[in-house]
Amino acid sequence: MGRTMSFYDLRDAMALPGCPVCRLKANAVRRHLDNLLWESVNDAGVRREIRNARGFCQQHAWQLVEGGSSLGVVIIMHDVMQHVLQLLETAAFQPPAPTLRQRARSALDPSRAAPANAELLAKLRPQAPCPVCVHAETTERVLISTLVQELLGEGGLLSPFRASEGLCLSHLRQALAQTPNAEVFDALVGVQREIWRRLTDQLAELIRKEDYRFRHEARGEERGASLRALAILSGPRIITSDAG
Amino acid sequence: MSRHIAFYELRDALAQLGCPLCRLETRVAERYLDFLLWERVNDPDLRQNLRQARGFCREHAWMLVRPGASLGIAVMLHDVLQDVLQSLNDAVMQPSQEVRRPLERLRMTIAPAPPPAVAGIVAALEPQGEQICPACVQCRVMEEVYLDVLLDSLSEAGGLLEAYQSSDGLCLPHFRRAVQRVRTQRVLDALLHAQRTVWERLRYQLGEVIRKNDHRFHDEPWGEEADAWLRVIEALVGAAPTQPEVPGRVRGEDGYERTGR
Repeated sequence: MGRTMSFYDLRDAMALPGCPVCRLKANAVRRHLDNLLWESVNDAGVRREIRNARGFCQQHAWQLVEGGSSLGVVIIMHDVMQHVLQLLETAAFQPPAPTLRQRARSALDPSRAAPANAELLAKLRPQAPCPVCVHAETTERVLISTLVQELLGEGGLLSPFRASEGLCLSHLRQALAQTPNAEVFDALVGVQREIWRRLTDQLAELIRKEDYRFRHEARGEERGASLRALAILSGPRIITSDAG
Repeated sequence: MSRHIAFYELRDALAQLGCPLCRLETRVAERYLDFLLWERVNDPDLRQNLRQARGFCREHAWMLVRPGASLGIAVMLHDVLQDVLQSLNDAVMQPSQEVRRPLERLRMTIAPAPPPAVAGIVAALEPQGEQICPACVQCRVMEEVYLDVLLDSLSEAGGLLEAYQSSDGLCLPHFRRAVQRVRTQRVLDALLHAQRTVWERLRYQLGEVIRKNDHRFHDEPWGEEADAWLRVIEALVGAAPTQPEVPGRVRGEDGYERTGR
């Protein structure tokens, strides 16, 4: 059976630590940012997208400068900054919309006061999503679709998935939303449950060995379980390369 | 005139590099997470909130990692993970609701909304109710306090206007939230004028970086525009979420400082 590239990427990523989809998504982001900096800085369409997004999201903006200073970053951001400054040129004060309900709400709870300057705010807000997020989400969708389609069957991903650290919570939710039938659902949930039960046991073991009575016991595979649990529940620390 | 403690914290933060609100929020989060790890790990209310929020947001989760925090993290996340596992244990997909039609499967790949058979399970794995990361709640409360103090002080004598104009100003996300809380034309004018001064300076410096990369001016010495490439990132999106080691920045006593200024 013909396999897509994503199949082999997933299979390889499952042999490495952490959620395979998070890892491949991070690699895709890195490649996309490199491509942006070396190939598309002066592309009018790309620049318009970035201006509309008011730059990038926080994570991807900082990833852009991980490699150090770059003229490309300065050119792109100079453009966005110029655009934002233009928006401020014509700004005028606009009081909060004076509806009775909003006045009552502001009086009762000042922290929930109606926002003022709605027009200026609307202009300053991103008018489009971060272009890198769009690319990352597309990659994520393809990977998850491949995972659920290729999980079962001869030479499928079930076996490497079982040996892996499993999906993070966010990607499991997305994978469950794409499961085509009960067999795939059962396999996915079954394996994920096994992996997380193992991690829960490791966390319990870590807690036990902090007890003064068992403190002298050598640390085993529970070492680093706290960090693995953080990555599973909240997403990984930003992974930018395949190392580790 | 008596001042709120937040006034002095803001004044000090404005004298340092980067968005003062990002700096203060990071400090609020750091202190809160310290308090959480050393004082509240076994607090039933906190644990319930965490279970419902399905743990911390990505930024604050990784801020938890510090020397000696392993046990606290393990205790809190063991609890959350057990709750998530419980949701998975209860999960069953009805065979009658399998997605068989090719068009339906294509739709799920393009725009994956959970089909009815698994919607309940997916929802059970989401943060429950309106519960969000407890550190985010704390930061949001303090952010409002700082923004109100800052806005009040912009139009009064001896206020923070001068310090604001000579600082790196607010980042765009905090500036948007400040604009939202302005209640008079006078304060908006002061805020806009100060922010424009800051960003015009940054725009000029970015222009200088571009100019000095030209082969004709390549030999000119670098001035205060040297780190503008980093300051513009912070100005548009806020401080680095996980504070990566960025070339050109060195760690200061309370975070990351830049060389060159």
